[in-house]
This record gives sequence, C-alpha cells and structure tokens, in this order.
Amino acid sequence: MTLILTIDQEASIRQHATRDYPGECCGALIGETIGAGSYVRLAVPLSNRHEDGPDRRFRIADADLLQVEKIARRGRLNIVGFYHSHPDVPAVPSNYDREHAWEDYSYLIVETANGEPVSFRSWKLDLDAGRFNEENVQVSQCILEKSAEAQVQKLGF
Amino acid sequence: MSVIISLPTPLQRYAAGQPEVTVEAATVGEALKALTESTPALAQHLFDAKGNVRSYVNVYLGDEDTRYLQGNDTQVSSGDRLVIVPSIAGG
Ligand SMILES: [Zn+2]
Repeated sequence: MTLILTIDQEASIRQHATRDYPGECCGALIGETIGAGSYVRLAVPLSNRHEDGPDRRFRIADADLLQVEKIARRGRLNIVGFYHSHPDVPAVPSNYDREHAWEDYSYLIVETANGEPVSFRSWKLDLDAGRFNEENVQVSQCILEKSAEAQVQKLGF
Repeated sequence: MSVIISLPTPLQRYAAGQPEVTVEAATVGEALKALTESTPALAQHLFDAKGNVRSYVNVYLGDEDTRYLQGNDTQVSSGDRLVIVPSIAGG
C-alpha cells in the first residue's frame, strides 16, 4: 500500500508538528483508496484531547471526528487515516499506538527533532498478526492528475 | 423505519466494503441488531461478550452519543443516521 499526499498537505502536517512541539499533534486524512493507493484529499489538523495531556499521547475527540466524517461523506470520500507526531522519538508506532489502532487506516507518524520534522513514515495495522506493517509514503506534485490516472487504469483503458 | 448506519473505514471490510447500511428499526438497539444480522462478521467488532457496545466504539445519533441518550432504547425515526465512531488515540 502507498499513502499519497500532495506537497501542500505534507507541508501543513510538518507545520502542525512543529507548532505543537514538544507536544504531539494529530489530525485526520480524508481521501479515497484506489487499488493499492490511498490518495489524501484533505489533511485536517485536529486538537489533541488526550486526558493525560499532549506530551506522550494523542486522542481525537468524538465531536471532531464526527465533523471530519461529515466532511468526508459530503465529498463521497472516506477517512483513510490519521497522522500524529513523535516529538524526539522515531516515527515507529509505540505499543500504545498498536493497542489503540484500527485496521485499514493509515497511521502517518512524523518524527520531530527539536521541533523540526525529520522523518515521515506510515503504518497499517495487521490485526491478526497484532503488528504494524510499514507502507510507502509518496509526495505528489498534483494529486488530481495522479488519481485520474489511477482511475483510468482501474477502468482498464 | 429506515435508518442509515454509517460505518467507519475499519468496519467497512465486514460489510462488503460499504460505507453505510440501511436497516429497518425503531430503536438504536434494533438498528444495531439488524446491522449485525445482515453483516454477522461485524458483531464481534461492535459488541463485547455480554452484548454491550464495545467501549472503544461509539454510536452517535446526529451529534449525540447514544450512551448519553437512552442507549440501545433510544428511539430512531425514518431517515435518521446513526454514525459509528471509533475511538482514535495513540502515543
Ligand atoms: Zn505514536
């Protein structure tokens, strides 16, 4: 699987990670899955509502997720995943990430070192195996073009 | 009464990839029962061994968490949408 973002979306996630450093930032990825690619249409920055504070954990409020879900539905899109930052920790899922993860979402993790985003990695849960598998992250100049191309391929032209 | 149930991405695989399912029901409990009857694979992801909705799954009617309405006894009307919202957290 490949998670495909535009350079603008990637930049906005980087900025969010820097802005919330040394806390963890989080957000939702609205898009669509075509074949083996998840195309992000909108990266939505959200507030970290974790009850233990944002230092080592993140939580997305139901009310925020409901709003994101509505936006996705209106655009006939899906929530393809979520992003969060790992301040001064590698962009590898923690045990806590694994315990709270769902299948089929992409979990994009940004490592920030001294507030600077240094690594972008995305993961998908294999529920049966109880572990995450890494997926590719592709940053695209023009996502619409890429998606149209994939749709044409899917239709077999 | 026809009620639409929106499924989050991780549960769509158990409903033939559909993002929503329409069921006939008068209460939230009936709607969830109808949903799992039409898509049995969903049951273990929605309910615990006692048949209660799992703690990390929330069922919303409009903007209201049905746990804070009348739970499974919450009445639904034709055209209502129930949204199943997964708890999203990590570290
Ligand atoms: Zn994490």
